[in-house]
Amino acid sequence: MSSKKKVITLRSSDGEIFEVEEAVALEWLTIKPLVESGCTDAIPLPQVTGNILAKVIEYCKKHIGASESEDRKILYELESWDADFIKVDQGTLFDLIRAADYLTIKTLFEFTCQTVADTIKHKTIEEVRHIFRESNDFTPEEEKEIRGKSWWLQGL
Amino acid sequence: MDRISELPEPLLHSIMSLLSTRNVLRMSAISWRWKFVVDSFPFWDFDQDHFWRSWSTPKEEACRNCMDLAHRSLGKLTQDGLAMPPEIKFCVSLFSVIFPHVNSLLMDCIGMALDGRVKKLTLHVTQFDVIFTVPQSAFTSRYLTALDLQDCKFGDLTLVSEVGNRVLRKLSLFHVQVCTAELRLLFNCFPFVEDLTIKRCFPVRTVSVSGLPKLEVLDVQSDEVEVDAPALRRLRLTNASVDDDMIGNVITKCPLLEDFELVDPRGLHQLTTQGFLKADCLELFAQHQCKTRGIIETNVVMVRRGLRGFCFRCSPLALPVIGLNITTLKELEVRGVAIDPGHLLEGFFHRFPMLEKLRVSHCPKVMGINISCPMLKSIYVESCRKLDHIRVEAPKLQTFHYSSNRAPLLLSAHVSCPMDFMLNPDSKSVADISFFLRINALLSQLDRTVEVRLSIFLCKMFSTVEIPELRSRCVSTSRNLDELRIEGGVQCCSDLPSLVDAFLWSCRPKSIHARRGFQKPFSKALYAKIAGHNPMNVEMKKLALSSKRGKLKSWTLDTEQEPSPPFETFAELLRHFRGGEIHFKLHWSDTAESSGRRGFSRA
Repeated sequence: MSSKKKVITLRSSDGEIFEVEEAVALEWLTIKPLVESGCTDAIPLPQVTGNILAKVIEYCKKHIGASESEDRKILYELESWDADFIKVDQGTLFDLIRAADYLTIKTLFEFTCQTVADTIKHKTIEEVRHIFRESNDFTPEEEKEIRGKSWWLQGL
Repeated sequence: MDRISELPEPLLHSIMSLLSTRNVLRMSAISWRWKFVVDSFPFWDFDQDHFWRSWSTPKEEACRNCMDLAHRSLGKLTQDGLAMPPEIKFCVSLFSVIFPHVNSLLMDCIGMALDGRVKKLTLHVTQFDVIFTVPQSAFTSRYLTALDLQDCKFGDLTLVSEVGNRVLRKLSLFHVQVCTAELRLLFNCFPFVEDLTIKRCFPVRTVSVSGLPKLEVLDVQSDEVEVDAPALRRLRLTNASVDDDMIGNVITKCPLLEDFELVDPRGLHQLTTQGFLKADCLELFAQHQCKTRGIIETNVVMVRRGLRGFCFRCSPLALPVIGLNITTLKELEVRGVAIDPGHLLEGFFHRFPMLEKLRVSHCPKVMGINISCPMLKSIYVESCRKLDHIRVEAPKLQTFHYSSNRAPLLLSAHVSCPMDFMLNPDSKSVADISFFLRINALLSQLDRTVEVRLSIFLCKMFSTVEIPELRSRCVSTSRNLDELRIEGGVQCCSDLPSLVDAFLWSCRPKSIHARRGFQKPFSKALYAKIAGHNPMNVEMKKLALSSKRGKLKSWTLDTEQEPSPPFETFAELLRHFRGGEIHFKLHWSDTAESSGRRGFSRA
């Protein structure tokens, strides 16, 4: 029994069924107790849709065991794989953050948050607004007041 | 979900915690939603530099703004009973003008942070008239695991040392006013510290570290140091005066020591005894912190500093180590060490009969290396500009790596491993006729070596080599170069056919890899020379192209089975080729003796 890899079944919010190896599922702290208790039914994940769950599983499968590797070449390849993996539209990226937070996958959560933070870094307010399509709901007077009060916002 | 602002607040906070304080504050001007998110963000990095924009804004204002934010943010967390961020950092300069106000804010903030069970606390407080006194509560908190202090002093430590903090693991003191007695009290206060840094503290003269049973990493910058730490694994002493007793004491009192680094030590020449007997690894540095400038400039700066400021200044390297017969030493690194111009590193390595790994790098004045070690497994020689002579006798050698801008003149090696040479002719030594002559001379001395590999990076101006002159001056040799890798910028040379000739003539390579920048034009010239009409008894055995981009991923031609295509077809072939490398395998049909001087002429 031990030689055969145990498979965990997951059900996404839209009813899709996914199968992952136990070792992968044990990295997800939210469902870890369930897996350890030997649950055989499909575990429902009502907050994660099928396409996002597929991406999460893809990431975890790639990273399991590889992150601890000392081999530079493997780490380098992993890095470039990550860079490709994260080339998704904003909506998917935010969904990934939520899913990683919901499932408590530390590596994925840190990686996705860092990606967003890197996008924001060294940008002016207008640029950030443009990138994330945030609308400016300040009235001109309010904005003037906020910027005037805090000198570090001036000239941005 | 499309919008970032639709993410729940805690998630936005975790993204913001990866940004600098200044960046986070700036985001409050995006929209109302962001303003609320920023207002509730638990700030942790209170460095006044985040609030300082240019010389036109006074530093006092930056400091006041910084402390205002700290007070507001931490006060709010305390008031709402929320958890403090695990790490809090204060970096401020207290000016006398604003001192009373900001000082009280700072004290309040430190108090709130400690009450909120902060785990890591950093205090870099500069004060201009008096020295800032660290509040006593910082020593008695039962939750603090790391404390980093800079530019401050302690109050009365007698009381707090009795209470103590048994969870503190990391303590760092930089430019702190502390005396010997205070240090002892401090160690009483934090008995289980594992990582300790003491740098440029005053007025203490002798930093005496003892009574710390769990200490594993110690980094001290001070004149005199006494260490007694049974669990110590890594020790780094900067500017310490060393002598036999001191080294001997350290080694006996720290039985688990693995890594011992002396940076710019004083009085190294006094060392005579066998204090290093138990050390396995010894590194001799002259200067190793020059990362801020460009590479070439850095080298120059590093070398000069090594010449002026280091204790090897008036004595050759051999002096301090003359009495050191470190018979057990396995690894030795000699880097940036200044040695008398006439002095060779000869005889020096005989002192280390058990040496397994040797690295000599950035030693500009070393002219010769002479080493015979029965146990030696690897040698790395890097960037020694004047190095002319190398003698190696090492039957067990597995790695020989030489990297510099020119080839050594004399090399006698009794080794059984492949030898790798990397030559990067820079602006000072272009690939001229003497460059090729040196390679040729080098090869002629390596008759008995199994395999010789050479890789060359050409990037600077390449002057045309007079092939007839090169031919007449080359030594005829039976030695063929086993592998030649050539890369760089092909635009550096105008006369490719003569470059090809120079390589063929001086090295007689059995295999040529043309890479990055040298693929197409160089290969065309080489192909024309060999496959065209070939007066020089060299045949192409195999030709392989491999690339990642372009239409043509890989293509191989084995001339033993099919004839090589005419030059036009080859040029056509190269059109579809992009990136990767082109590999020629060559067969030299005649021996060196018969090819001798008749050889080939320019096509």
